Amino acid sequence: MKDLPYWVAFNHLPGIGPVRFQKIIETFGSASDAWRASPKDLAHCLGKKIVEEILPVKLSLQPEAVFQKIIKRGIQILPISDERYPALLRDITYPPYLLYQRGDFDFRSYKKWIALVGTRRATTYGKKVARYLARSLAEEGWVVVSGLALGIDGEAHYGALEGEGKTVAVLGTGVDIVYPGSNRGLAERILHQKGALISEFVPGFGPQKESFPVRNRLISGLSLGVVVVEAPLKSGALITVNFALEQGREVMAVPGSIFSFQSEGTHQLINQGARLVHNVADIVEELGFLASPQSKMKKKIALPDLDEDEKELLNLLDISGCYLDELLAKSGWESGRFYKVLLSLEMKKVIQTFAGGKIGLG
Amino acid sequence: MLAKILSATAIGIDATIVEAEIDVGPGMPSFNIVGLPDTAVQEARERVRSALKNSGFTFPARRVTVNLAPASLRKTGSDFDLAIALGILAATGQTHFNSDRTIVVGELSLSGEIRPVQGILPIAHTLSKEASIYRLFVAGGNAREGAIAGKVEVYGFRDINQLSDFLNGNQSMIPTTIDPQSLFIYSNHEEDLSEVKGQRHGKRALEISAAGGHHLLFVGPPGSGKTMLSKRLPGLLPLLSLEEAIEVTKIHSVAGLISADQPLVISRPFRSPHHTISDVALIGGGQLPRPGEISLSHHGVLFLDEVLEFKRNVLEALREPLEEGKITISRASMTTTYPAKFTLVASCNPCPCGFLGDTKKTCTCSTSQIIRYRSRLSGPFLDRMDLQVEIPRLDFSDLSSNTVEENSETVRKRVEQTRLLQQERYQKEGIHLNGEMKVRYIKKFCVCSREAHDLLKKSIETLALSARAYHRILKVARTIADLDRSEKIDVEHVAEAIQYRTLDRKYLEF
Repeated sequence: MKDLPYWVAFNHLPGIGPVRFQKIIETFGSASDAWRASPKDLAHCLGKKIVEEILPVKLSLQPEAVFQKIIKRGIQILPISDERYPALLRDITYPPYLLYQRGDFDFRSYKKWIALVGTRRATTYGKKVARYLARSLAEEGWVVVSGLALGIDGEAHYGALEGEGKTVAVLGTGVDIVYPGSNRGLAERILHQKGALISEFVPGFGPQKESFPVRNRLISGLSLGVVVVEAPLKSGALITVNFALEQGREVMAVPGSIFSFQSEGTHQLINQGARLVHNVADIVEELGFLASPQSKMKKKIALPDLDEDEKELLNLLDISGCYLDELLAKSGWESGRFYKVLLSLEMKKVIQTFAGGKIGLG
Repeated sequence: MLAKILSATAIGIDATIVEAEIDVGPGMPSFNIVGLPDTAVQEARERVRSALKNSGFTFPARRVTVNLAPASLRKTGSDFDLAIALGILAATGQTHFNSDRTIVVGELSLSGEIRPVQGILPIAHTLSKEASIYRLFVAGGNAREGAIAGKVEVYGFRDINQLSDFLNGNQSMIPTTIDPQSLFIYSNHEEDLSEVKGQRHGKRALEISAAGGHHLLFVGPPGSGKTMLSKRLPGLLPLLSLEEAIEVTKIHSVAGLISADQPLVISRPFRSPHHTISDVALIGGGQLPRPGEISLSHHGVLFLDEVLEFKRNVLEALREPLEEGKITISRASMTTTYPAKFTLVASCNPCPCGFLGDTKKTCTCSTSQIIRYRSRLSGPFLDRMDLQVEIPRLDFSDLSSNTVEENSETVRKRVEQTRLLQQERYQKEGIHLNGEMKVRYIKKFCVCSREAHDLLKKSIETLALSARAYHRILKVARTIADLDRSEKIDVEHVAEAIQYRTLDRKYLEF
């Protein structure tokens, strides 16, 4: 497409989102014509204020050079008119007119898309669930979409990779920047396993607070449904849910402990009518697909061999966990025996110590 | 006429004798002090002139020259006022005084009153080892402190008239004596361990810290009782011996922290500097080196509340004294060494807002904030904390419960016995406590049972403990075994010791 460099160029200008870009195309016919238009004509279309803002950037920008630079770095540019552009995304209100993509991945080859989202500050339980669900879904051929953040997002990607499946990460930065940096390794693995990193932001665009909620609309937009694995009452995951509802996607939520702050948001969603996710079949059926027999089974967690003392101590521990002092008092044991059994349970990964000194089931 | 009076000044926690030569001769009336005096010593001229005049003596209208020897030593402060005044009186024949076996130390007020100075105990203590000296003249307010050293006769005078009367034979005085043992009176309102409800884990950590001399870190939300627990550590340590008390008092005397009614520091110091403290104030220093908080907490506890708020360079500066048990401060004018053997207790919140992992309040920090906060804790400083303990916030029902808690004395008895055990073991090694063990000693003295060794090895792998944690765990396990009177380190000792390495283990599990 000859016009593409000018699309990319407009994409680099501040304040030119899907709405204004559409207006530009309608007014001038093509992006290249619009680029060559006089500031006066542009002002007529966009308003004086915007033109004043974009003009200095526009003057310093050379569309062909910028375009070539991006292509040379192996970043694919998908305009909305391109057939490689994700079909599901085209249906949402104001889809991005350009997507940048890294990774050898073709959106046309897949039909089953699911988003797994949740808090960055996940509990061990939440992480476990995210990984387990993503893995099982990937094994059944679902593409797992998430946001490459810490916590649930990261676990969802890892789970899909473990399940030898495909996963797509929607970034709130340019596709060449991984934020947070600690997920760089994960990003590499996604690319290595022929998944994709996509973004509507231009390459080189750094992390900004406002950009993450914006990309959340793509996470839900790319998927048939959104599973919220774990979310407190105030969470970016709930922003994704709002987009999902606007876009007509199914919303599902995983229940947690009623004592956990990190599940308050998901419980609220269930209250409001989101489907409760108990196993993979729940997700699959909700989206109108036939659930396979194994998806109805829950993963069995086998306890390692425990001796009498270990069993006794484990029985004293309830689901919400308790502090070391409480457990010691409850057991009534002398401390030597207590610490010995506690450590051995911990090493068998049956229990776990959390920040704040709390002991809970691992 | 020439008069020679001996005085002294504290240098570090020792003292040196300074000879004041006073020459009153013919010439234009003047008053000069030579011998590397600083401003405060120069100002002595005004104090001495007025003090003599206001006490009814005549100040000679002649050329007065004072030389403070040795000339190479920089003289500071007001220690020499009294010696200079007495020298002028002697040189002009107003008072009969000629003794090269008497030391005179004191500051003068304009009315002729003698004021106490800092560092009397270091002076008296040094003089008690000098055979040639037998008398020390000081201010009344300094007399009891000086008398603690023994051997030297200490006379305390109210003003220069009283001193002159005594020297002229018009008034008899007896030297001040004091029985240091009689000063060891403990008041009962000291903070006791029994006042802390619950927190069994935290209390146990205090006991281990006291028994083995291990540095301790408390992590917990605001209001969980970190400070309350820390304040009770000095009460769990063995009572100060007289020798230790004198050592502590000498440092506090140099810093000017000794009062006239309690001339001896009898309880273990507990110092808690605010986090805005400068490195010099913490470590010691200044143009003329003065002891810092670490030396003031010698034989006691240095408590750093909100340790992450301290400036990085301040915490870094702690490393050397923590290893050496003393600090050498070098300045252009002099180099001084102060002892600094203390137990470090630090406390911090688990996250910037303080409520990470709390059951009642939600933590409002972002993940990156927590990671950044924790990263400040890591590294060489954390490495030196043998015990890391999480202190949870207790429910009201726990706080108001009526269970009887162990008091400080009971715990202290156990600590004393355990310390005796260690002293026996390390008799030939030049260390006293498990906490002081270097790797060489750990290999020699931390003998584990086979099972304990296997457990330690396995737990380091499965719990992803850092390699540096290994030696710390063994040291703490040694103390736990000692408290248990067990010669070998057994499984339960290692298992408990691992519970005190919380920060090595988890990173971000909520």
